[in-house]
Amino acid sequence: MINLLGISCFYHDSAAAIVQDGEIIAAAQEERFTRIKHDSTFPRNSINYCLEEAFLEPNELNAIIFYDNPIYSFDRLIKTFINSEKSIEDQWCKAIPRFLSSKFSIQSLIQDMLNIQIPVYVTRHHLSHAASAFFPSPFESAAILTVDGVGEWATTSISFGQDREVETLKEINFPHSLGLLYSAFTYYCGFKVNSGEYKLMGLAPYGNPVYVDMIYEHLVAIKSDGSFRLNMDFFGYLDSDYMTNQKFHQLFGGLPRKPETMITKKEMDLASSIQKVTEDIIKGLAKHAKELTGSDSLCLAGGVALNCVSNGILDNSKLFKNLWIQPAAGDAGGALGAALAASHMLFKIPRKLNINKDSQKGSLLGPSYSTYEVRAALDQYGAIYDVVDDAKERAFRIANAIKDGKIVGFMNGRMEFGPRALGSRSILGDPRREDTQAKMNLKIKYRESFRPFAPSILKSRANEWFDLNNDSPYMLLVTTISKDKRKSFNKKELSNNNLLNIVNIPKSTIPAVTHVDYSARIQTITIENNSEYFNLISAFESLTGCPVLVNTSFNVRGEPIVCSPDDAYKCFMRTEMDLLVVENCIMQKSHQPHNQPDDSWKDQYELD
Amino acid sequence: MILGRINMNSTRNQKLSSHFYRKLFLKAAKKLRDKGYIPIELSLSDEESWYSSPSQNDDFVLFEKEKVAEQLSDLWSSSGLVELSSLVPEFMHLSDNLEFDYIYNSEIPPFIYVMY
Repeated sequence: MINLLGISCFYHDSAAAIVQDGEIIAAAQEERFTRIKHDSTFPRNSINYCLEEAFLEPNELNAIIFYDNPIYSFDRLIKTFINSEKSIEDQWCKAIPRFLSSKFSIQSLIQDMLNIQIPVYVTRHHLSHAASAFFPSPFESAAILTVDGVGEWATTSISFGQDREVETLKEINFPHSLGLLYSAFTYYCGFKVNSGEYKLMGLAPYGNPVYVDMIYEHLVAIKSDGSFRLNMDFFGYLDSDYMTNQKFHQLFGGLPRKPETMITKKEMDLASSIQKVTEDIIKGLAKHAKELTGSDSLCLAGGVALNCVSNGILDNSKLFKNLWIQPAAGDAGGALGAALAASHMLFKIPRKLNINKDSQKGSLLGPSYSTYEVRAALDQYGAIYDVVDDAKERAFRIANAIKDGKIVGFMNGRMEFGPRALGSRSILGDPRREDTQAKMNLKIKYRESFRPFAPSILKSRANEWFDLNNDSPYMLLVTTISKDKRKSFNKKELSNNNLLNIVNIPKSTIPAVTHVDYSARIQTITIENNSEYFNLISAFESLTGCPVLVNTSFNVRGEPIVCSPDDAYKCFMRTEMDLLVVENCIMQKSHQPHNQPDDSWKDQYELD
Repeated sequence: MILGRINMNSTRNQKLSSHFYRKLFLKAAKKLRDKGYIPIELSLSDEESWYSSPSQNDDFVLFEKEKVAEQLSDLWSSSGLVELSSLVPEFMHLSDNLEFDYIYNSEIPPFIYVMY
């Protein structure tokens, strides 16, 4: 048996993954254990968990694969400093010690932690992404498109995957990067880089793409072969601590929006514009991938593949018959890709393909907790709970509470790998109620959000409620709600600067999950992917006729998604959630000791 | 506010890095620029922006810290960048003298994409 451990760390979201004879056994992000959002430190806890899950001692590993080649990343870093004629000593003093003392020490860090001598391989960043998208897909062969900020020199790649090989065909290099272009607008609109991109995407439907021509005229040149270049005169990321510079600010008429200040029509229009440009570029890249490979199937990964609006448009374009997107498309997924790539391409393990089902296992690759562990965790807080062993009774009890307007924290089975909560660590609500969105935002998430929540729907009913071409088990496609479920509303509200007025207007029969353009970030559920969650939605449907639940991640703002029963109970008690379900234990807030909301978490978690 | 793990050695690391930058790196960088070397392709020309595929030899490389110097030196020498390859021993010396710098999130402004 060949046991391989993949690791990603020292950029954004560190993670580890274990693959045994080509089968994915476990994968987890470090942030879930350390409770530090986007933790990029060495993934000590994730490695420990993966070894435990695979029942392996460190000396049973055949090799460890790091997802990125530090030599080429260092080369890019040094050449970026050479490029600057002005002194950027401040940036040098931040970057160089971090790099030299972390990435060049990866081998000793691993060997010190595991106390073994073991081969440590490094692979290429975009090969890790490409492998994470192709090998778990249900495709025998496929074009693979990876798009992110940067990894070593590459920012974009087109590859072809067949059997147990992935061949990179072409790349676009730094600083010409779609990920960095999107991040520049994220920063300019007042959101945090590396975490606020999804907010910008969610803001786009409120605006009009009035800046598209300006972006094409000044910032981006798209070539006939789908490639692109950025005009670096307008960006700051080569030689400053900011994504944009003075020239960019002059072009768009002012300084960047300050975080947490009011979002105006300008930001809405900028979001809409950069979203349109992103979609254009992605379509061009995908078209070129099609020309190069002739494939009917496309796999996507890299941070930009989390732009589910763009994914939905690509899906609707029918450019490719089949589409599969790695749910951990960002850097965390690189750990999984590195292990898969080495498994098939280096250790020559044959790929076990099932054309009817991907091998990502519903992306439920993280830790689970036994009923004994759950009860021990709850008992330490003196929690009052009912044990409901019968799965059907449990599902109906929870579904009834949701029908009555209760907000439910729901934790069952293995934790999700990737940024989305898929029904194992989720907060759930009734999508039909007009007050659900406001209640979940203000009393649970503690934010005033302009973004609707995502719907989970039984796959068998998806086409009745949404205009969906493909399956969307990982919440990575945005589509529109069926016309017969829509409600008309006064579009003049969209010219209003106050987003919250627009958010609270019901736009469909399931208002909590319907955006202003009638779009929704859909998740389709099958019994195979998550039987407990499937049973719950089925019970809700039989009570209400609605096969949809509101699904948002089980956390408060700035907190990583909960991992353990301990995390779940603490989050439950911090918020105004009504009900908590952890495996077969169900507890009501009103029955708990010290059941007053506790806002001490606000000192612990930095706002995202 | 918990943002990361505290690095007790950041001042020492900063001093060493700053010294390297001023005494060694700036000179090498200037020499290269004066020779007309273009480290990053910034042109917006109409030519295609794709690069051909990387070598498959780079798909999996056995990584050993002792060989980093050799690999960096080879990479830069083969591109004619003697100014950089001659700095490799100094880079390695710097690397050996830096204390392990735990990623300390607050050192990185939230306005920049982390590229290193």
